[in-house]
Amino acid sequence: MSGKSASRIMTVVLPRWPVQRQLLQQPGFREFPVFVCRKNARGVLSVVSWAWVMPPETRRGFQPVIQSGFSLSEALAVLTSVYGEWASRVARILHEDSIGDIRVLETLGRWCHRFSPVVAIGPDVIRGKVKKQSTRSVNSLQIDVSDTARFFGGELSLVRMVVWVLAARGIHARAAIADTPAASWVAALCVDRLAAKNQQASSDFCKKISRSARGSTCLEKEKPRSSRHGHWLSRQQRWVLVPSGQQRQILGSMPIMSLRLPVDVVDSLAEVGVESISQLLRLPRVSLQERFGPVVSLQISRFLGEASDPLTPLQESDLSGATHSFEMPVLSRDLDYKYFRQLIESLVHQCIRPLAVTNRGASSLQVRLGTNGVRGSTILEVGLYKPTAKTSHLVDLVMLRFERTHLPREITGVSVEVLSADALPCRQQTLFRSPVQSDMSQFEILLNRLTSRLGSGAVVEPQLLSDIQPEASWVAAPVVHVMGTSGSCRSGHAHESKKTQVSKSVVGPSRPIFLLSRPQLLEVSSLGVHGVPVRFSWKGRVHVVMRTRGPERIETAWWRGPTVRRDYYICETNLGGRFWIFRGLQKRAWFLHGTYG
Amino acid sequence: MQIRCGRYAELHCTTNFSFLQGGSHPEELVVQAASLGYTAIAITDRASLSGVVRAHAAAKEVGVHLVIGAFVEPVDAAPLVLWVANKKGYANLCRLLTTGFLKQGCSRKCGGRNKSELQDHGPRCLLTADEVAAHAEGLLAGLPLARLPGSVELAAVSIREWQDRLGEKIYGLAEVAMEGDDQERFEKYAKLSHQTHVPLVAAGDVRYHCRDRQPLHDVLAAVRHGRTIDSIQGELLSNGERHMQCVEQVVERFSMLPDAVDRTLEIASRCTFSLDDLHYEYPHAVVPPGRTPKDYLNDLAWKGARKRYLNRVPGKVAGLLEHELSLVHELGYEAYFLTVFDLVRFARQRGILCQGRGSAANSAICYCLGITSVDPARMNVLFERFVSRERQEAPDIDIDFEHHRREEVLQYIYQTYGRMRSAMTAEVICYRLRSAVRDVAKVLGFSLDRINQLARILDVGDSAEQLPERLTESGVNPRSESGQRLIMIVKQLIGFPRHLGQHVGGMVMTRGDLCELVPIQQASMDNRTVIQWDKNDLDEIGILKVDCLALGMLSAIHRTFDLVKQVGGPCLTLATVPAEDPRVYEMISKADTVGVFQIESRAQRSMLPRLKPACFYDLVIEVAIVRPGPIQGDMVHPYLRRRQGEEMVCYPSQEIREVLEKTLGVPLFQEQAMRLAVVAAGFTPGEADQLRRAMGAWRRTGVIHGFHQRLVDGMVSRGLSSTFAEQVFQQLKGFGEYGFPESHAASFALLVYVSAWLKAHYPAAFTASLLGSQPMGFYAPSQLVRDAQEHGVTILPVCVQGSEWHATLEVSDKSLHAIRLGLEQVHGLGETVGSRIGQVRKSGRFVSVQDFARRCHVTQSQLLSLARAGALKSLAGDRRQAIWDSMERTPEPGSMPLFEVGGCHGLNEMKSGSGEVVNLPIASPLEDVLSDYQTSGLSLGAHPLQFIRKRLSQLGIVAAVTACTRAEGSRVVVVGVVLSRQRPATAKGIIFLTLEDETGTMNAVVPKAVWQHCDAQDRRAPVLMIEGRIQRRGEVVHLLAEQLAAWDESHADGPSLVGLPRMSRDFC
Repeated sequence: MSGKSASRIMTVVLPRWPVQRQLLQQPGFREFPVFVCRKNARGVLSVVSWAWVMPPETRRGFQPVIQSGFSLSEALAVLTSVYGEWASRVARILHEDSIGDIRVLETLGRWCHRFSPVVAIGPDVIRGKVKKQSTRSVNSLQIDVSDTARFFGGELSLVRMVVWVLAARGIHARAAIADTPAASWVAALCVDRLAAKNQQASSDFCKKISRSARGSTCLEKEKPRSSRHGHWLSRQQRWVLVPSGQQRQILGSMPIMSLRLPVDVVDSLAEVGVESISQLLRLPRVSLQERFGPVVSLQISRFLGEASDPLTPLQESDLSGATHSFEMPVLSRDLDYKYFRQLIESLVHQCIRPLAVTNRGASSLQVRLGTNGVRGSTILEVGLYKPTAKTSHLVDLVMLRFERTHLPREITGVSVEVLSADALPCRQQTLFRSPVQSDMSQFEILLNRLTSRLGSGAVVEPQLLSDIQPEASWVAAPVVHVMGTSGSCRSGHAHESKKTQVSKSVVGPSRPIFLLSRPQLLEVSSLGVHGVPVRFSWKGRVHVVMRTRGPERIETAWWRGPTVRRDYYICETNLGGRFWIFRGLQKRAWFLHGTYG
Repeated sequence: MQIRCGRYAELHCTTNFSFLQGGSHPEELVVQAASLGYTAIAITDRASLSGVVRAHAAAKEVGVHLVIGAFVEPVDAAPLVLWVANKKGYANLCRLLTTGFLKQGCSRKCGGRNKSELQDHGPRCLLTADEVAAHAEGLLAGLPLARLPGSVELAAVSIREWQDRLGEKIYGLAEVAMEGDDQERFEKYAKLSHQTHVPLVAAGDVRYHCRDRQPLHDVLAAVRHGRTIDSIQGELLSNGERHMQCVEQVVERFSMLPDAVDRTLEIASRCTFSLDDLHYEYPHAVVPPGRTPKDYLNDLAWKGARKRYLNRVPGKVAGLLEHELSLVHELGYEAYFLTVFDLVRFARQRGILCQGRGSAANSAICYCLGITSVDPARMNVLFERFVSRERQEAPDIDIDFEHHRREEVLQYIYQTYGRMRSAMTAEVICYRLRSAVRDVAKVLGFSLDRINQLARILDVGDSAEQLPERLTESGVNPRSESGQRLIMIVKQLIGFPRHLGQHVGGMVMTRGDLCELVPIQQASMDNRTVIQWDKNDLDEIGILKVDCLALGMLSAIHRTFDLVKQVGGPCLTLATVPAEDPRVYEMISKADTVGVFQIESRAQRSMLPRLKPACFYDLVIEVAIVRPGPIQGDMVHPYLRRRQGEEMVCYPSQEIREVLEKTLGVPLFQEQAMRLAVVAAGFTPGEADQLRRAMGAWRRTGVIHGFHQRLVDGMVSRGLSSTFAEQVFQQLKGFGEYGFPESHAASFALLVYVSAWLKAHYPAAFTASLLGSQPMGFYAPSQLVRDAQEHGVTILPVCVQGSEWHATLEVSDKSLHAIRLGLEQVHGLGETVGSRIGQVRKSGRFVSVQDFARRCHVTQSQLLSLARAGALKSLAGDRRQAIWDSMERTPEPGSMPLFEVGGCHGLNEMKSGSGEVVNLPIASPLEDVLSDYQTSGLSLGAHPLQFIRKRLSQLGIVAAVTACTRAEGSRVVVVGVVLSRQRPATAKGIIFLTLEDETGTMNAVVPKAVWQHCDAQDRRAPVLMIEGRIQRRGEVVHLLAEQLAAWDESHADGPSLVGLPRMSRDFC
């Protein structure tokens, strides 16, 4: 086999990738049922994939059967019926992040370079009507193993190794090797079907194959292994080898859907009874072309290896990184601050330079301190309020973080990587650079510094919400959307809160300048004619009310809980204070809610 | 006390007829005003008078002065509240609103607002300030000062603008709502008043009658904006002060402006108009010059009578005619009869079949004028049921027209009377449980799929009381806070008007301008205008309407007549169909009535073998007896027993015998009830009619009890036993509302007879016509076709080589005529293309799919629809090949001009070789049948269940025919395609299902508990599996279901029925 010139392509399909990569990044979620969901056009959440790595032993019935495409409430109902109500309460619901999925898949792809230099991200999964589906959903890798399989003890042991190694990392994978990318994709996608189809025939078939002179194995089957995570790791056969030149015979009965034809073409073909690949292959290509355009015959040619279908090797990310390795590990306590700053500066500069050409700036940055130790490298992430191409500013931010970071004992190297970049805001150029005009406003610099120093959650800005209830009419929203992987969830949250905000904010005729976050009970010593306080004490001082204005009645929030019913008054007191006080209409008690300076 | 209480009149109230804006019914506001001691209340909806009639009725009852008004928002000036001072003012207001709405009609056509937006907000009334000024006579206006812009100066400008136009009539509405700046506002108002001399009036801008409605009002606002409640707070009112306050509170609030409160009374007293002042005048009849309507009507009636009876008018009819004509003259209804006559004459001229129904058939005049077809010589008619002296109410004539030609009649009315004098009656579309739950849940932020689930689970028959139960089923805890909120608001919302629709056929015409009686607005259909009142409002005001209804069966009968004539049969009309044909009654007695008017339903068909109609009058009884009234009044079984001679009939007196003899002593018709009251209890005919109406409304009011006593006393005093009197009363009560008048039943029975006659004699023509008049009746095309096949009619499939748009008759070898299904059966093919195919074919048959496509100019999707439906089989060989051929991408006509010049369709000729036969997998017979059902809803092939019968037998599932032969009480399991689901209102939640397999049909009775036990998916499945016990009653066999489930494909283990569409016609 090694001597053959025909190419051999391995496709690794990761059916549960969206949820598994979330679990990889947030191992804490392994204890809970995790659902990755997508919002459809009508706003209904449907499950993309789900997992529960460590479910409780107690189950009421059978394994929960939740398929991709279930609506979330349906899925939760199934879960509830099996594990009881608490299960749906603890369930973690994540939104699909296909960009993030691809990004992590690329990392995995780079890891796969150990099997072959040519690794590509697999084709898009076609879902629904092609035109309407805008999200790219990719969950496979394609690896050209034509010449490299022999280094791993042949194709069989290679494919088995890949699946096992991935399984050990908690990634459920199915793999197949065939002559063309299209064929290996079909085989990988239909592994279970191929296995089932050959269930009966397998024993004698395998015997026959093993007797064959080449000794290579087709449809080699592993005994089903029982798995602790049985509910989400399929026990079926997870790999298939399609011998060279035999894709037509072996994959003929697979559905044409797996050829990645557009959905409307598949529907049309189903209408005339063409459902499997072999039925499709029997049709004249010319007539196919007349009806569906070139796409069908092209896919057939690719499947059979008649048309070239080159893999697009995984590109190194265009976001640059720079690394410096020390000759020998440096003890962090020996590290000279000035030298270290210079080092970082040069690395950051290296990273930023290529971006500057395209008028982009870094919006998040990762600094990694490599160690030999068991704890792995120390990683710092710096997220920015707005992208910048200013090296000194970025270095400042990095150094600020270092001051608060526990450094490893020994450092073997430092690498800096731009995690995300964005276009720099366009500013008019001036011929004579005046000191006032800088790349970045002072406010932005301050924000970046504050965030770096205090953490992203600590820097907030008030945002007005349209809510009649005063204490609910604003929210402290984080200013900085930290880019990068760990921030995705948080930025999603901020996005949500923005959505509830409406252009028209509800502010009564005269709201106080200082609003107490929570109304405080007021000691009222005497009431006047209209039931308005005549004197009250606040912060140990007795105020005599000189003038009042009001009432402003607020009755609202019945949809959140008990209705808020209050009469607000503005009181001016003899001590010169102006207070915003209210009487709760239910309990008739008086509260202070704000002051006017 | 009187003075203190009467210190205030609320002049600015929005009811829920300002759709999605007001939070209370008009009646609630009026009643609340009375209980708070207001002197008067004004109903001022947004450009609408829809709610005023209800308010008027309520105001009369509680004794509050009602001021009629409306709130208008001119496009170029500040909004105004208009109050009607006098009759002229009312006419002006109606005309003004009509002007605004009909302008909208044209702006909508070119405007391009999307439909959903329109549905939410209804049509808009676009007015200008000048138009308001032009119609200001008799109106007073209030300017809500709170809505004026910004500063005092700017506001003063707006006020002056109006003052210039309206002068003294304008008042400033001083409205405050405890928003913190009340004091400043009052100061501003006072300043404005001082500057512009506009008198200030206190008002509350009332949105709901009590504070409790604030949540509902908030929800409505959110529904209007299509958002959730917490996202639209900017649009919500900040408190619940817009309710009706008690007078003391108002006085206290307006203590700074005491005059403003007193001025409300001044305005109320200036508004003296009441809806009672409206005087409706029926339009002048179309009378030849020199004749009076009375003469003319007499003339027409007698002429008609002589024609009907061939110059030998029976004495009975002549007497009736005399009596009726004098009564009509006395009440001045000549014009009404003449206009209806005019409509009927128009329809006849156009060749549109029509027939009067309902109580009009009680009139000999209507028979002689040709409006109805029930011969007063043969039937006992009771004119008082139609027109009565006591009732002071307009007679009500319903006329059925062929359903696809009714529009011609409506447009004729518009043409004759003009758009300003005629319009359709409105129908107020109200929130029902499901729509209320959907809207409220959306607003309260329930997730969309939860809402969908909930809406799926809710049955039409469910009431608000069952809501908690349903919530639990769909996974929402009804005791949770959100669940409780949902339930509370849904309960309040049910019954709220949502928008105005059109009544099914009620046309209103007036002598003067209709637009001075009620505002007219554009209906959603082009060329139709609709008034703002519904039929109850019209009754309240006493306005006549003519119901022009659409009846599919008339179309079908007309079509059958044409087809019969086409194939060389006799030329038939409704009147010339041979009467009393024994063959027809034989057929009816066997319940072989699929497709026959009225008696084809499951309930009717199970009654027929028991009743065994043998003459026309039996059909009248048959039509009337299967009705909720007689069923609830327990009259069916006594009648059947007496008919079969199992029970003796005895009459207490000779007079009663005369009334009840025809129906064997059991009152089945409304007229009998009335006549009984006359002869047995001494009622006058008019009083008897009041009794009938009271019976209709006995659930709502206590009126019936007065009649009860009188009826019993009257009967006893005439020597009848009180038990008999009680029994009569109970029977009357039972069917007061749901019974048919005899005249109506007779009108229907005529159509029953005609359609049955046609079915018996010309089954092919009859079925073809039914197929062409869909949707109508109880059965879907597939059952009609199957029934025709059982009667030996050959049915030929849809085929472009033979089919027209509608089904046609062809001479086939097997029988004289065969039905060729029409292209209308092909889903997705328009009528224009469908009829073009027949035209093109005249110039030569098609030779290939390409030839067909080119000559008929069909688009590819139309070609595919035809291929899928099997209509191209004759050109391509089989369905799949036809689909394959039509998938070929043909260039759009005109896209390749070079190939088309000189009549040389070069490209297609070039390509004609590509229609090659390819090696497509052959479809199994089952696949063929399933595609038939998917693409045209019917199949001429085998029944789908035939393909799984073997497996069914293995599972011990019996065929319908076998099940029907089993003994009473034996347990069987049946699987069948669901043909219909019914939930009659009388059946206490029982569901009737009709299942069909290849051997026949099976009627299943599903008790409520069993139905509720199965989930929504099972309820709606196309194929059901039912386990139950056989029940026999005579020849009628039912399956009493004990368990019910969707047919599970996993049992099939072979051919699969996946892809079979739902074919059921659901009446529940």
